[in-house]
Amino acid sequence: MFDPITAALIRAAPALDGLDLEGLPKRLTSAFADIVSARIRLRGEAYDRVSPELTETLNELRRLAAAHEAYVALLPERENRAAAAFVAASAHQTCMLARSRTNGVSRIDATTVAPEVCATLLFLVAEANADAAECAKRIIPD
Amino acid sequence: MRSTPSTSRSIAESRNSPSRRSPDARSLERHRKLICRSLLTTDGGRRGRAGEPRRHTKSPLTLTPIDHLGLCHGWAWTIQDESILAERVARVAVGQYRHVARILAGANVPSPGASTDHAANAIKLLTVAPGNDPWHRDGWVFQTLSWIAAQQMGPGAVTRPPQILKADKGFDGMQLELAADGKSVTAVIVFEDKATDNARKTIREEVWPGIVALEAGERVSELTHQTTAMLEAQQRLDPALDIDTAISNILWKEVRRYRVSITVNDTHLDNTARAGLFKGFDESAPGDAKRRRAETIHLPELRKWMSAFAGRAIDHVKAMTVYV
Repeated sequence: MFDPITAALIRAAPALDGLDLEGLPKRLTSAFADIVSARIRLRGEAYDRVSPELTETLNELRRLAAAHEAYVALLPERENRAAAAFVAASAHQTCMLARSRTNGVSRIDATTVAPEVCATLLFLVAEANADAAECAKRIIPD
Repeated sequence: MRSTPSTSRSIAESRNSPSRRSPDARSLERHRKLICRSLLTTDGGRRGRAGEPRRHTKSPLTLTPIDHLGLCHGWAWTIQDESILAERVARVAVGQYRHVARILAGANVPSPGASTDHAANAIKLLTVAPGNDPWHRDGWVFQTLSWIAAQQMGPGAVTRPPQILKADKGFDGMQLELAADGKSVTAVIVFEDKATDNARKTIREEVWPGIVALEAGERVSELTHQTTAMLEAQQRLDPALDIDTAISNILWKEVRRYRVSITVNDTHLDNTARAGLFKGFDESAPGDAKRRRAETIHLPELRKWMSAFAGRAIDHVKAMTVYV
């Protein structure tokens, strides 16, 4: 659950077609809970066995992270940039929970940046320093 | 003591004078003159100023529409003028893709020279190192042909600059499709470029699985970051670009198309055989047929052709090397 100030920040994120901004804090919380519960259920098993509903949730979170991250990168003067950054970081963080850590180091190269690095930076943009510090723990340096 | 402009010029001239150059530089210069002479005396392009290579304004590829109803659509490329095409590839290899893009867009601009460092890098790019297979060199050449074909399609899209390293990471190519007003982005087009001796096997075993993986959300961070970089570049060129719609369309709604370009031999020349080559495209990338672009070029002896073509491009690189 998000505290009222954070929930208000999330609701101030840029609008997207079909995205219920009012219900977004609750949606992120329930996605987080679904993924944690799937992790416990699947403990050690392949993640390709997740339910179609959870796959759909993860896809939506991926798109949410991608779109809001782009808002942050492309529109630095936007008034709700902090809200976009927080939503993108939270969506990245929730998706990361569903990922098994077998990928080795956190990748940064000419074509892409690992989500744990993106999420940490996005939390910093949103001035959510404690969340950034927590997220940074997932960064595995080379 | 500060040099006067005329002194600076004479020092530069003397540094570049034939007597002061290394044997390699003299040989390169001789080669450049030979190629320039041949370029100035062959087919009907325009002459540049005295001593310059001719300005090529002709399209090097002919693009013929193909439509495999419901399955996919696209263009078959035919080489119109191999020498001009090799010159375009040579310019991309020396890093002058912007110049090539302007020429392909119809601009009549003088051709710039290239430094010996750029030329050396380009020649390396176009050469198969001893003991290596030609796949990476041929792959790079084909990606560049694909970029040229995409540029020739004219306005309506923003194409990512061609890669400048063999076997570079990332997508083979990318385009942002623009709305008719040019102010909003309607879709992102991901390129899959394959130079192969066995087109169907490559499509079935490499291209379709790659597209299925993308459709399932793999490589999404790569796609997001590259798309964002393209949007950022386009935003600088056109501050009126509607970024909100672009983000909504290509990242939130994931309006995505695929453009598969592949070399074919005699087996897939006719319409029915070509349709057979792209069988399964609609299963890998379901939805409207406009999501599926299929491009082919007939190169029956691919490796032999690539080797000769790369040699021709190297000749052009040497010809455009005008200063150190």
